[in-house]
This record gives sequence, C-alpha cells and structure tokens, in this order.
Amino acid sequence: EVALKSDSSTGFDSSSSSPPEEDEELKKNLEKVGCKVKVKSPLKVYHVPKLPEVELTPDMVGVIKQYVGFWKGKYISPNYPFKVEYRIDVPDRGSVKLVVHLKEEEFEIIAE
Amino acid sequence: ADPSDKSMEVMRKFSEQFCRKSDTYFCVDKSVTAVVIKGLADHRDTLGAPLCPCRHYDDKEAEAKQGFWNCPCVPMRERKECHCMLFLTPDNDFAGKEQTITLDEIREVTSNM
Repeated sequence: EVALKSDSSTGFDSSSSSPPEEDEELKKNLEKVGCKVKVKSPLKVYHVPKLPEVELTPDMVGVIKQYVGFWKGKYISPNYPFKVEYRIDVPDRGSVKLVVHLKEEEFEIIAE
Repeated sequence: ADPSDKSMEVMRKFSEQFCRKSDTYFCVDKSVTAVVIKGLADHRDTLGAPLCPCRHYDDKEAEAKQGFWNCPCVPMRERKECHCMLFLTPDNDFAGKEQTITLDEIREVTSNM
C-alpha cells in the first residue's frame, strides 16, 4: 500500500483537489458524479427542515452531486461518501431540495 | 492533558440539546455518554471541531475541516445513526430515559482516564 501525499515533489499542489492519477477506484467514484440514481430499498431520513421524516423510495430519482471521500487533495473516511440530491414535492411548499449521503451499495445508477 | 472546562461544558450542553432536538436518549450506562463527551471536548480543543472520538482517522485535521464526522455527524443528522452510543433512539436496547448529564457525572467517570 502506498500513501499518497499531495506535495510538489509528486507534481501535486497541496492546494489543488486533483486526484492522484493512479487511484483507479477513486477515479471510478468521481466519475459517478452527475449520474442519476435510485435507492435499492426504502431509506428514512430525518434532516429535512420542518418535516419529521422523509422516506426515500426506489421510485424516486436523485442525482449524485459529489463524492466526498477525497477532499481538497486528501483522503477522508465518510461511510456514506456519495452526496445525492433529490427534489421532493411537499404540500404548500412545492418542490423542496433534499441532499442525502449514500454508500455505493445503497443505490443503483439508472442513467449517466 | 484533560480537555478544557470550557470545551467540556460546551459539549455537555450541546449533547443535552441535541438529544432533545433529535428525540434521542443517553445510554443507560452513563459512563458511555461521559467518555464520548470528554472525547468530543478534547477534539474541540486540539482540532477546533468536535470530531467524532470513536473512529480512527489517517488525517484528523482534514477530517475535522471537511466535517463529515464532526458531531453531530452526517449519519446522525440524516439517519439518527450514532455508533458512539451518545444519542440513542428510544427503540435501542441500550437507550436510557435521560437527556441530561451533569459535569460532575462526567468528571466522576472520566477522572481516572
């Protein structure tokens, strides 16, 4: 295992967020950003303002907005690293944006 | 070194408030609660953020700045999942009935650590 450090000797600027070329898995994860996804099974979340809970179901489509396992040139350890945005219809409030973090096993990609 | 009194009090208060807000309870064994609060206070002092004390990190500074594991962490905020057992939903076998803890309780448990 090789520790990947961002420093000038390896050609990486520590202030940049460009991923190490040789990390294929990271590349694959970053490439999922922009994909449309749906959860494989229902998932309840509790962080939507003014709603006690919201259930995400497999018929709802979200979009991966970000992969947060690699941040500002550094590896970090989120257990749900994919930030997925949904729009849900809430009575009297119209379409409300909902962002939820998922792990790879929880969703399937339905379109690139 | 022990965490500062200020951070201990900030994290104690935060824990009580978040319990009420999220409708969760402290562990029936309050020493669990005390140890986690002390760990959070320590990270608040050393990292500037209450990074979860119950996990291993390769790069604590980066984790604290990014924020995923800053208490209340993303899994707790979104799903009410707290693997530290600081905030337990009522259906959890280890959930107690309390949402308060005093500084004395924390000190008593953690004084020999």
